[in-house]
Amino acid sequence: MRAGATFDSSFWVHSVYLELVDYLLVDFDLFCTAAVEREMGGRNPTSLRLRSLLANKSIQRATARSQKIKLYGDGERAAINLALERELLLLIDDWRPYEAARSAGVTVLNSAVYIVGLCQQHRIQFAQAVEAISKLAKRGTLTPGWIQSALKVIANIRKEEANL
Amino acid sequence: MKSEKQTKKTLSITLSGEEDRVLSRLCALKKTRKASYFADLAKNQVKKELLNFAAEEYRKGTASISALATKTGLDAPSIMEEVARMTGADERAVEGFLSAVKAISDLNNDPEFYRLAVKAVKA
Repeated sequence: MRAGATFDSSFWVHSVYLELVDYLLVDFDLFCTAAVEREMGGRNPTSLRLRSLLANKSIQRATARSQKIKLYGDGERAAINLALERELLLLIDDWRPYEAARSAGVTVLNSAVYIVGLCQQHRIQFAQAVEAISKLAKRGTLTPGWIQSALKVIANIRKEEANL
Repeated sequence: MKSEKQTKKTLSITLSGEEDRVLSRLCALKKTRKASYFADLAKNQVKKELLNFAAEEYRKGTASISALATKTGLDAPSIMEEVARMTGADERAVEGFLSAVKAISDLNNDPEFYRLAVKAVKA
């Protein structure tokens, strides 16, 4: 059985940009809040990809009934509250709401760690993982600390595999 | 999805004689009305300034993408593209990334790791 997961806008934008969406659909039952859908806007490729997956029910729409977390951003607040209420994994790439969610007891995952996981499972090659992390570094939309940690883990995976 | 109601607001602008002459010439050349010209100008300039504000705030670490989307009314992908555009012009992002890779590469005695990262950055 696949784990349920919801996501915020920053994670979705990175997933489309790094071509991670197909992996996500294999790994998780994805749920999207109306606020995140709204934050994607109308006519950009990231939004169109989300809308098409919502239309064919590959991703389900969902809304939290209660509002335990009150952060300023509509999308991040909705995603965190949904994750809390339904005990979903939260896929999120913005470090402030990431930390807020973690403190509230939500299990969180960012795209850098997801890439590391794909590399460890040999679903993407080492060079692809390095390329994806370098793209994130060049965009400046992921905190440098996460990028450095991901690099260290990828390097260790490679080292351990070379020793095997 | 519900379509947004198109409401109109009227603003009065006072121009000096010289400002009006210049504007009239431009609008005659562009075959547009002064009001339409100002409306387009304001729309484009406001969006540009909102994007710039959001990207600067994000880069300073003062707010998240979602919070800035809520605050400015812009969509998240546009804000993230603007951040990426600004970061792309800043060589320090790539330098920081490559110096981290170099340190790990040296530590693990794995020059191939660094070579791959340099190749990825240039791609």
